[in-house]
Amino acid sequence: MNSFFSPQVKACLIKEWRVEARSRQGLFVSALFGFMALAAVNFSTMITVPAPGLAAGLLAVILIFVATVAVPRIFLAEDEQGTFDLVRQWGASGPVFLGKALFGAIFQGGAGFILGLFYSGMIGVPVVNWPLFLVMSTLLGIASSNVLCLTSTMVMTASNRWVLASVVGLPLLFPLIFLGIGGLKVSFGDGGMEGAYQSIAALVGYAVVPLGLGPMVAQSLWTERRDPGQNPDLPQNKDRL
Amino acid sequence: MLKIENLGHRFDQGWLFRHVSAEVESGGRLLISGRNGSGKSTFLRSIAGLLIPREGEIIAPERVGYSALDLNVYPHLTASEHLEFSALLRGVKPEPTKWLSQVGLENVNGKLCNAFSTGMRARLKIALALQCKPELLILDEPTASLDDAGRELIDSIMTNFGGAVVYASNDEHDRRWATHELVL
Amino acid sequence: MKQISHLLLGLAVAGMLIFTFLVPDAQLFMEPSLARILFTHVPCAFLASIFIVSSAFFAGSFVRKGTDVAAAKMHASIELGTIFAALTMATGILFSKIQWGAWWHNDPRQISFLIVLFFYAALMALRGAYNDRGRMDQSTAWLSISLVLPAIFLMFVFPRLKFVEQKSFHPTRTIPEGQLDFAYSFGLWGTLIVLGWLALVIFSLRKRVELAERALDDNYGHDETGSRGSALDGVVRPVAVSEKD
Repeated sequence: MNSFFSPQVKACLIKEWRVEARSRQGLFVSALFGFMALAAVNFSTMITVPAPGLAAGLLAVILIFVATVAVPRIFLAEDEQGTFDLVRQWGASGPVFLGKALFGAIFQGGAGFILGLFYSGMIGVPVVNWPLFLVMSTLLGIASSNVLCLTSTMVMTASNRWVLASVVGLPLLFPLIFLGIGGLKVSFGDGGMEGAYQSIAALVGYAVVPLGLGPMVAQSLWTERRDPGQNPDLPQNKDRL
Repeated sequence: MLKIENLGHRFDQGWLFRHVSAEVESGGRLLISGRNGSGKSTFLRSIAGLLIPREGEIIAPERVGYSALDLNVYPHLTASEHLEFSALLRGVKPEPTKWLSQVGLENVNGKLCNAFSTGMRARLKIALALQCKPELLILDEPTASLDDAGRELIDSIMTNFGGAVVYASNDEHDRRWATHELVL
Repeated sequence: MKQISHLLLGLAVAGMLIFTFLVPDAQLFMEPSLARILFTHVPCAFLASIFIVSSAFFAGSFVRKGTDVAAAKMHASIELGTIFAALTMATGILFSKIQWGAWWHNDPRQISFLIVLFFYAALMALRGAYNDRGRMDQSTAWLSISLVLPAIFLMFVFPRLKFVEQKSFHPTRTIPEGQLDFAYSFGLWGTLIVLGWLALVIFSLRKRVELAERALDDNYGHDETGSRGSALDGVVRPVAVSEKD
């Protein structure tokens, strides 16, 4: 049973934290990409203050793309640096997935919170509901991270995996843009709280589902020793023509 | 202990090896030899559960230790952190000091692995393989990149390890431990 | 029997094609003859939706049983679904240009179907990225399972949301509420049945081809081991070192 409180998940989370604290690769990528995107949006909205819906959409797109460049690294670096077999032979794919996903969620949740704060200062659209704005920014970061953790798991050993993680992830991230706009525009004063609550509930659902699927995906793609009855290549399991 | 029945693996180009069968009992030392590209590492990876063979069956014990040249360690973790992480994932007691001293790495504690030499990494991988108290040890080119002290360490493992060992090597000196040899 | 059914299918396809050209032009269209695009656009969209659900169904079956048959059905569903989704998009864009004056209209249903097309594109991209068949099957199966709920939402729930219905040029109630005249209604359901039948036949053929490719790959692969000591005939077993020496 994979649980967020198992020592294996904790061990993986601590390992990811240590690696990030020493290499700071995720931090550099997120900060650089995030602030570049903020600056680009700021340039394009210098003359006209965007409508709340557009301002919400721009922030949602920034947060999702920051996650797209930063999150796959948590998984893909394993195979790239030759440590994937090390983890696989220790045979705890589910907890490893959850540990990495938890790290990604904390990291991108934080990135969403901070980038949201900077965005609100730069875009010129007044935030009328700060708690909602910050909850939505953070949740968007977390949900994007969890979706990308799931798709990164699927492409870990594929060729051209860095591009593929985003290619496979983006279609699943599109609905997040709708949900993000739904909640964020309310925080900018457009629409009622009912829509915002619906967006929050849907975002939470979107963040949770990958955490349920991920350990199963990791189990089937990372673990190579199967029960002979499950091996499709064995003649007794072949159901041909 | 380890039973391999009609093992075969192929990549796109064709079969690398086929119809390979073997049994290794506790205390046995099976040497896998063959020229470069004959599939020695692929064979070992199959036994270690890191690759699904295209045909055949492998019955291996639950606890398997594996060390290979192409296996890497985390550059931003220390040797003790590796051992702690591995122990927690495998559900064994973390005893980094004990294992590091067993492989002669007791003095590198606190040093990140990106500062390790190839030989030091090889020793760490041996410690990681031994830490789970394996019944079967799989070693791919165990003496490659090791100095004399490192070779002595491998010699002592090969002599004293109670379980079965399957290892691949083309070094003539490494043949001395083998009870059986399988030529691919 | 199979030949008769294929002959009947051929006749049905030909009959429906002729019928779609014989129906009178529709009224209230910028280009009245273009209303016939309905006979391709709607059935293709319907089949693209069916195939994304069926790919997830066979993906689930593959994850549970691990059989080549389930994998072959999953891949056939994805390939056919991609073709039908692309046809839906192509006919839709053409219609949009002539009827509404622009190739792309930011119509919510155009966008939602574009995302579904991206889903198919992602599945195709993932399939192409693995050399190892086992991993390719597994990862495609999981992606297919992950995509099915968002796809169902985009295709069946999203178009019926009130704000989407208000903004979209796509009529959502014309067909269910029977507002089409008889000829168009008959043509639409007829093409849907005939195209569905054709799709099923292609699906079955594609599945068989996939299985045949796998069988060939497994049983008649070029043998690299012949030039070395490893066995082509018989079994390679270890030799006791003491016996050798």
